[in-house]
Amino acid sequence: MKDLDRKIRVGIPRALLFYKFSDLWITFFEHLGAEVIISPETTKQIKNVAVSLAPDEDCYSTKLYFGHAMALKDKVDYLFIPRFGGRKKKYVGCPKFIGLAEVLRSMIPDLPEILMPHYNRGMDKHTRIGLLVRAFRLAKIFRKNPFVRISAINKAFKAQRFHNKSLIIDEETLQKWENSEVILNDFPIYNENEKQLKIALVGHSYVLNDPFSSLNIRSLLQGYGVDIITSEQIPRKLIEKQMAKLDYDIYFDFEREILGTIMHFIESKTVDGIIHLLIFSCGPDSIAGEIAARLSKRNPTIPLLQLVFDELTGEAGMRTRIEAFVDMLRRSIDEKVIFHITQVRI
Amino acid sequence: MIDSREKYFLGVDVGSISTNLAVIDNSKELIESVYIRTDGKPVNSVQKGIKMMRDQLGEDLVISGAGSTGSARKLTGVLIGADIVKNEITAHALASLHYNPDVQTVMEIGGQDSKIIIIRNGIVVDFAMNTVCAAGTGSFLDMQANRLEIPIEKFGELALQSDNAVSIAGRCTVFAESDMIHKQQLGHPTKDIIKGLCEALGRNYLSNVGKGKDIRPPIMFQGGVAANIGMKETFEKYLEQEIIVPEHYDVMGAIGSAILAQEDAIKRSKKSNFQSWDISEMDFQTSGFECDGCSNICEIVEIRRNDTLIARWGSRCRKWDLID
Repeated sequence: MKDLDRKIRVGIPRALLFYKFSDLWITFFEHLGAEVIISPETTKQIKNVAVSLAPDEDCYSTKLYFGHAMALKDKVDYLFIPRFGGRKKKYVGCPKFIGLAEVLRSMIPDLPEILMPHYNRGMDKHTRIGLLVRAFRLAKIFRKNPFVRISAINKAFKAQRFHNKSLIIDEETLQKWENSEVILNDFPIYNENEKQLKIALVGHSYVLNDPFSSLNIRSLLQGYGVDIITSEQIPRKLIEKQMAKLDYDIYFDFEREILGTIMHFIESKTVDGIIHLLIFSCGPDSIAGEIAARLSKRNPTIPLLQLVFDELTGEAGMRTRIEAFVDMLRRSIDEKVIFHITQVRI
Repeated sequence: MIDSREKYFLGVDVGSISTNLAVIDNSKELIESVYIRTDGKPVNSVQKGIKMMRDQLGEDLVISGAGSTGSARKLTGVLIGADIVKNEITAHALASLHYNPDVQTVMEIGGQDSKIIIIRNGIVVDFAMNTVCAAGTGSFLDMQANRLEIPIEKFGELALQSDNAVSIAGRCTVFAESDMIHKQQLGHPTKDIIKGLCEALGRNYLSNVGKGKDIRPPIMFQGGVAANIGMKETFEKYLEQEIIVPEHYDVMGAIGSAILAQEDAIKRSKKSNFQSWDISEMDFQTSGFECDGCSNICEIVEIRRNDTLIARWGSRCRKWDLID
């Protein structure tokens, strides 16, 4: 334990898995009495630092992680960069995320001490109990009292369960959304005499929820009067059901969610279109992207727009594509359709 | 030709290389068009285009609706007072459908953009644009014509004279150019090299923009590059289909934009926003600055007409938006 009068400051970069596990991590550290400092939302400055620093071959989102880590560098006592391999025995997350902490440490020697607990369910020794033991040990830096440490772990997992429960909808809610009874995200801004469009916005959590790297696509769609659902919200059961239909088992956990969502909507035909956000040069994305494109071609009723983002992406070209896609969907709708606007938000 | 009871609509398409204007009547027939180079100065070229249009049609002609499209559509929309600002894909598709209601594929190659639009039963069902690479677009052909000292208008004709195309790498314009220089140094005649270039660019288009697209006839080929009959022949060779180059291939975007303005006029109750034919006499100033409000350091652009601020954009937040 550091001998300080003030709270120990733990920095968490607002990038990659932060967008999935923020509640787990923040609750854990705060309950241990630490001050959690999160890097600001991605800005041009963060991007510029990131791109100049990160290895060329990393994907755009991983590059941004470097910028976020640098934004915290002089403000914290510890950086929390977990080495997360995956939560399922059979599937992996992204191998880049496992190495991230070590890469950062070797590239930027004067970083604060990095807390890098390793968890990879795919490895034999990494059982669920093992995860708790690791968290327990990590907590010792902050508090010696074992009861406080156990309670912090409990609270953290509870917070994460709550997060997942409020994010991931059940099948009944999905059906309500498909029937235009509820709104799941921001209220679309409708123009007069325009039919409400429904689009599934599909991609990694760290792309969907970072307005900078996705060029503000969510508010852009909101402005076009589009009601969205994201791949993060889709019931896990439906995703697994879709995955079982493939002749092969998709090995990348995050990609299962993405592909499963696309397959669900191609099959159910309950949206007007699907927008698939891909990150250059993400390996799993390029595989899922190709599979999605082929499935969509075989079953072309629901149009699919695939957009690839990186630090060189021109905003003008992206906007043109998104606008043209929305126009295409609007113009293809039967003019006689009754204008129905959903009023309820959950 | 000009009927005072008729309604007229203006469409302006400002792209990276050319600025096109079209005026249509209520039955979507083209009355007059203007095709000029943007020369990197969109404001000037819009003013010049409007002036030319006014000179051809007379300033008494009333515009009942105006639209803008192309990569400079937002700026153009502010300059002319457009009622509708829409992307090029929608504009091109509408124009093609007007000239050929059965069209199933539209290939458009402009100055720096190339696109493909797939249409079924009169509805756009799929499209693609070139992403980070401008290989095979008009500006490259233009550059090579310049280098070979052949007027770009003659490019296509010359390609047709060759019956022995040399193979040229079409993946990347930089490599294509070194390949062309190499072939020249080996002594290949210019016409064979040009034909080889057309074929390389055609292959590039089909394998990049057209990749995975269901290209079915009737196929329309438009945009500035459609003037090049060498390219048309290349597409006919690779697709084994007849390629239709519409009569007004070079101003299809502007026609589409005018059609959008006409559609919009039906829905709109207000009068058109269209400035007036005097746009060319007005003084437009654009200026820019970097906002230091946050670490996004947005580049803000301001447009002034006769010293009055008429538009401002570029910020990620809404801080600098003008409120009507």
